[in-house]
Amino acid sequence: MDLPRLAKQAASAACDDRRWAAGLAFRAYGRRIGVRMSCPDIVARVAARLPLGWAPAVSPVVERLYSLATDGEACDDGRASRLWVDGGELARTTSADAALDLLEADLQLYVAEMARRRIFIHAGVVGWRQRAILLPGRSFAGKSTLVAELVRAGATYYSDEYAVLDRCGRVHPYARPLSIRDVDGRPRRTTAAALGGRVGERPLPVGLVVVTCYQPGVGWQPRPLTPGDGVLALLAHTLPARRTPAEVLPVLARVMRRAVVLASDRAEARPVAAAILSQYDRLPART
Amino acid sequence: MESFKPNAHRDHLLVEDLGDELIVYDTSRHEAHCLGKIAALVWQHCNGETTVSELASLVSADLGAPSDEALVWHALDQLSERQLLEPPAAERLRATEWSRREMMQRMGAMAGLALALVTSLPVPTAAQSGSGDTGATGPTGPTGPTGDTGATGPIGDTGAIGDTGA
Repeated sequence: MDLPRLAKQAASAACDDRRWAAGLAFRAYGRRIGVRMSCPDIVARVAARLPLGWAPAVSPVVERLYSLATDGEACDDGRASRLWVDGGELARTTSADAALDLLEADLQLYVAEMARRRIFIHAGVVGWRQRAILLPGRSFAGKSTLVAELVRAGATYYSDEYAVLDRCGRVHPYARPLSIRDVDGRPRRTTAAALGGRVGERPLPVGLVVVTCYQPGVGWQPRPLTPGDGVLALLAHTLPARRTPAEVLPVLARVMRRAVVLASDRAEARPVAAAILSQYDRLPART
Repeated sequence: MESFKPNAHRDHLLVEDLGDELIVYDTSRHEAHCLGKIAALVWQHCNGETTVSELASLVSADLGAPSDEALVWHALDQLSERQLLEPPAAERLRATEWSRREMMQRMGAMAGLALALVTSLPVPTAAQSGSGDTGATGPTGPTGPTGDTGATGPIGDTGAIGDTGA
C-alpha cells in the first residue's frame, strides 16, 4: 500500500523530503489517520500504541498525518527521534520509546476530541445493575483506583479513562487495561480479569455520576447535585466541549435528566466503592 | 428604579432547558452557566419590556411565596456579571451600588434562598480537560540543548558614503 498522505496540505513540509520506509493508515472513531516511519522495524510498536477500536484504512489519504523518524540521523543534538504532525514538528526525543509515548498521547487526544458520533469525557466508568456509573475527573484524581475497587466489588469494567457517549447518552466501553499507579507513582497496566472482574460489552444508560477526588484523610460524605451542576461537572471534562458545544450540550442534558449526581471528596477507595454501590441500590428508580 | 426594563443578551448563546434550571453556553467566551430556578426565570423574562417590579411578581408567582425586588436585583447582578444582559443593564446595576449593602442585608433575611443563583464554568480546551489543576511553579530545570540555527536575517541598510579620497 502507498504511504499515508494528507488529503490537503497547504505547503510541503520539511519532513516531506525525508525518506519514509513504512506507513500505517487507519480509522478510529470516524477519523482517518496515518503514521509514516523511517524504520520498518518500528511498525509493530506503533500499531500497539494506536487508539482502541482502530481498523486499517483502505485509502492512504488521511486527515491527520504523523511522521516518526527513529533512524538516529534526525538531528545533531543527541536527540535521535523526531515526531511531526501534519508537517509541523511535535517533538525531538532521545529515545524511540519517548517518541512513541508522545505519539500515543497525541493520537489519543486527537481521537477523543475529534471523534465522530461519539463524545469523549475524562471519566472512569463501571456498569452496575444495567446502568453506568460515571466518575469524571482529571488525571491523578484517583479515577483508576476507584474504578479498580468498584470492579473488585462486582461492577463491570467499562473504562478508567474515557466515558464514550453516543447521541442517546449511552456509555460505550473503552476498556483499555486499567492504569494503576504503584507506590512510586508509576502507571502499571492491569486487566479487569486480574481484578476478578469482567469487561462490559454493550452500551449502558447513565444511572449515577459521582464527582469525587482523592484527598487524604477526608471522609466520604456525598451530597446530591442538581442536574444543572451535573452538566457543568461533566462539561469540565468533556474533550469536544469547546469544538462542538451544540452537539455536546443536548447529550449531557439528556444524561442528567435521568441520572443522579453525588459529590464528595474521598480518601481510601475500597470503602468508598462499597458505599457508592450501596447508595446506588438505594436510589429511587429513574426512567 | 421601577421603570428599569432589563434586556437579556442572547447572541452566541446555546441554551439547554433542564426543567428548573437552564444551562447557557457562551460560544464566544467559552463559558457555561447554570442558571438556578430564580435566575432562569428572571433571565427568560428579560425582554426589555418587563420591569424589575414585574419580574419580582413573576418570581413570586412561580415560587408560590412572597418575593422581593432585592432578589431580582441580585439575580440581575449575577446575570450581568456573566454578560448575559445587554450592556445598559450593567451600567444601571452599577448605578444601584449604593443599595447593595441594604439588599444583601435583606437577602440574608430571606432564609432558604441561595445567594448563588448562577454557577459558572470556564470551559477547558481538550488538552486542559484531562490535566490536573495548576499547581505551584516548580524549580527551574536544567538548561536544554542548543536549538537549531536560526534563519538568515534580512540584508541590512546600505552604509553611509565614505569620505572622498585624497
